Amino acid sequence: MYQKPDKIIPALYGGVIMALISAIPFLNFINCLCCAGVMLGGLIAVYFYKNNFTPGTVQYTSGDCMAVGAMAGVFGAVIGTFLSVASLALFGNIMGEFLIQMFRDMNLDIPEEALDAIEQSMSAGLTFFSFFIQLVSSLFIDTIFGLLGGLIGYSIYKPKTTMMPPPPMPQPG
Amino acid sequence: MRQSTAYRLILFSVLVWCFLLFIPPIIANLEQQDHSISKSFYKVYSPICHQYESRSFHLGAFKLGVCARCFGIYIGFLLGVGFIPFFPKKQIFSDVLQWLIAISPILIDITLDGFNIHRSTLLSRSITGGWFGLFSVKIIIPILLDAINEKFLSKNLIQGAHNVSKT
Repeated sequence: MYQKPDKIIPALYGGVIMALISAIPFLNFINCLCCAGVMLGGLIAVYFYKNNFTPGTVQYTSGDCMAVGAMAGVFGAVIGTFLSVASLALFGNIMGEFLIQMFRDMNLDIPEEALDAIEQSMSAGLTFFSFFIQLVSSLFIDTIFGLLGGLIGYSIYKPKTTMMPPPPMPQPG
Repeated sequence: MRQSTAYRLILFSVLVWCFLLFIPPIIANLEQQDHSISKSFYKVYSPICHQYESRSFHLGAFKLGVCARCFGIYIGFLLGVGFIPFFPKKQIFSDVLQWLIAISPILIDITLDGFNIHRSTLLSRSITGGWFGLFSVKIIIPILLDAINEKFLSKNLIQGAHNVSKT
């Protein structure tokens, strides 16, 4: 039987998706649903991981999926933090201002607190300390929820137990 | 033996997580002026929750670290972990169907609120969240127990047995 495939690349795919969800304005609201975006990244990492298995490979286990999800969380935290900082440094608050104006113009029933939160996050300056705090808290949160996403992925994609063929019947005589 | 060690580890971790939700308002209630310390603690939970004042339970004058729905999810999860030894072992539904059953009340609550048919309250948010937390335990915990035993505890036991045999 072949060895299990590497976990790094599937975790990286999941981490990139996690980072994009966390860094893109409006899309990152998904994470307000108990870090659903982060868990989705862990789940997708497991999806890519299980696709690398062939019939001749040793089956993946819950521990493998937990590890893939946690690794995706680490990648997602690092990439997401750098993406957020880079987009803020390069583009400033253009996207946030556009969103706030759009929400106000459309007269959507959005809590005023939501708009205040967006405005507050835009007014916060970019310092090394804030970057460090964001990186550390993201590493903590994304690893835990990525791990949970990996376990959810295992519950959905777990290998079906293969039916062993019945032993041959003894020949008479 | 290994199963109970992993279970105790999970139960303790979830207990600590739920306790930490109360830290930001406790500190905020104790702080005198600018609440800078409690703000840092609230910031830890900001990536995982919108923390809206009107949608959160309060301890004294200050909101908890997360909203009512998230709080319900975590407390429901804690209760589920505490009572999982008493859950029926037989699995009636597939995992996918169980996830759908777990998340349906939340989706219904959000959808009805979005269409102004029913106004979500702190109670409805916390109950639907608690339902999700409780139901997800049945799916997640057995897998997590196996994963912890496989990745951490079985290796330690083998290493321990190896060390004992060398002496």
